Amino acid sequence: MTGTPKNDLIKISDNISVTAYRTICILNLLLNKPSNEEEISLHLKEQSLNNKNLSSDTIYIYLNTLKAVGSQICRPCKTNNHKYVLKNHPFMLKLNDNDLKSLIQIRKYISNLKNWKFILDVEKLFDIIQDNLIIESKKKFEKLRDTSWRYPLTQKIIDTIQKLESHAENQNKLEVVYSSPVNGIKNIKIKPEEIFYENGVFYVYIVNLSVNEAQYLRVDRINSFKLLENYSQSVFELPEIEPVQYKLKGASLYYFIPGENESIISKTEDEMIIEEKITNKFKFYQKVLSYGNDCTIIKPLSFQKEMINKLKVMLDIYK
Amino acid sequence: MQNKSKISSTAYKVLILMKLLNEENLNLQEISQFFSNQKDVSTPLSKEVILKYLNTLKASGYKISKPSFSNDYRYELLKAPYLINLSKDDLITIVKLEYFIENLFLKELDNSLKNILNKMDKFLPEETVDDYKRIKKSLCGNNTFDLNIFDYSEYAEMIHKFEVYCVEAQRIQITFKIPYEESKKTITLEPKELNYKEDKVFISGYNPLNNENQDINLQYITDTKQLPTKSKNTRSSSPVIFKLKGRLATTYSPYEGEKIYNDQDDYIKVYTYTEEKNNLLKRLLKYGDDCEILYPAEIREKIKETIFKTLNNYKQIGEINSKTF
Repeated sequence: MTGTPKNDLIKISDNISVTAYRTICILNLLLNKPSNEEEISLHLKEQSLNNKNLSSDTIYIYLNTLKAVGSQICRPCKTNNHKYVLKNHPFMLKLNDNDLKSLIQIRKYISNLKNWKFILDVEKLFDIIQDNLIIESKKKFEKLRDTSWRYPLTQKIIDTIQKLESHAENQNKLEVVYSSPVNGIKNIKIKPEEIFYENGVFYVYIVNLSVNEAQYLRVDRINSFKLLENYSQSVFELPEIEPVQYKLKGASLYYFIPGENESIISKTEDEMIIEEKITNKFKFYQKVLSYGNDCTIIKPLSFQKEMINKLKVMLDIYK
Repeated sequence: MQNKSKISSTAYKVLILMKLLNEENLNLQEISQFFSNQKDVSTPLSKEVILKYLNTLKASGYKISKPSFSNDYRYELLKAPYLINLSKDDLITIVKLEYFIENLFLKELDNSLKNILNKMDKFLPEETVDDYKRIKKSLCGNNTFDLNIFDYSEYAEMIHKFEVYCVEAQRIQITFKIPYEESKKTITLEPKELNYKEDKVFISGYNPLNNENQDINLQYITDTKQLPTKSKNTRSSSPVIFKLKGRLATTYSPYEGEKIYNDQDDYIKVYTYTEEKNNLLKRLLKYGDDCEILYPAEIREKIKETIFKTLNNYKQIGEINSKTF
């Protein structure tokens, strides 16, 4: 922020508060960069009405005045190169409780989009907004953001997502150190395919090179990974899985939207036959179970048997 | 010697004035009123003193608009002392965000976002504001948004109506007809929020008569009446309690309105308060034999019945029937 040119300032000096003018000059300087006493003095000399040097005591009064309105100014010391550093001040963006609530609501709606890139872009924007809020709003926003995520979205997760996406694009193979909730920490050789976001969690869809199987891993459980430079298995193809057919009826008919690997084989007013090329059995059974008695697997037999076994075990719980 | 507590009273008041104008536009009377309510300001500020303070801010390089009809006769600090740096990518995100909210047809939320962006405006350097306008014109002109938003325009009017009910905490009566059910239903609802699932929009709320949370698809609503009572938002419905074991017990993170009680090593108990019962049942069925509903008895019975009926679906397939049952 540049003040009024010196000559013009002299003309209006009777109509301004010189002390306040000088204090704001220091504020503007510290907003721009940390400064030591000498630099502050020089800046005031350049910006102010006369050329005389101001005493240290006077500069301290100005700095104390800035602190009195709520600024946090670090004292000069070795760690800050003996400069005054403006750590916080009350001239930042102020958002009220309704504004903050609206931002959280907006994020909730965005998370339904399943567009993980946009989710991360908005998070980055929210980080900037948070960093630039006055201290009271900042604390509230930070708390609201933390409590509204089912899983905390850390910088490490964001970095991992971005790197995995780049490896997926370049069709690289990786060895990841994965913290499995069942088997503990283990190393897995993978080919990342794509990132996806579901129910508040970021996943990476992978091909597990050791077992030739399509799987998905939770990004927050990936501790680290390294590039497999000369992995011998150069071309990988997913094993062929016989398509599964299932029948839907009742209320589920009205909510059904075919997924990427699903196609509607036949449709009447009362029922629908869907064929799905399954890439992940676990997810398939989860989905089919969620339809309840509106859904019946038609073929293949192996899937029907497995479903029956699952249902029997579930029913046993309630006996 | 340095006197830590000594400050300049005038500079203090000018800085306070700058802080005030940074937060909102004010007229002379409001400024005067503010200072007269401050304990640390000994004498009321005259109009002349306030004008002198405003001149000091102007002399320091801050642009302050003159009171006029367009700004409701208030002083407005046109640029904040502190400016926020936004990259072009951040500006694209803002434009996309505006487009997204606009297309949900939530007018109140849309206005809130606009209000927030207006507040941010004075914190952005002029060139950033110009970049934002250019990006908005370019993206909106070419309609190059890759957000895959469903078209909710047919529900626009209803969405807005329900949004107002939610904001005003207004109890309503909804009549709806679900295609696979024979007759219409009329319920009383304390609407909480609108939810978007794929191409459908739901009004979610609390039904005080059956003490349940309900989601109604806007598509099936035939009539809505505003009731002369306010929603009693403090009252929550009784919880559904379920037990999770195995992998789920160690990895489960609570959804909105859920609490976890971790009193055993091999399982956790989850208390859920807000999720609509049918949606909750669908979700809990997904968890397979890692999940058991404990309370209330009718929900426990309902899931048992659903599992039994699902198992019965396979009785129709004779070959499997003989082999597996």
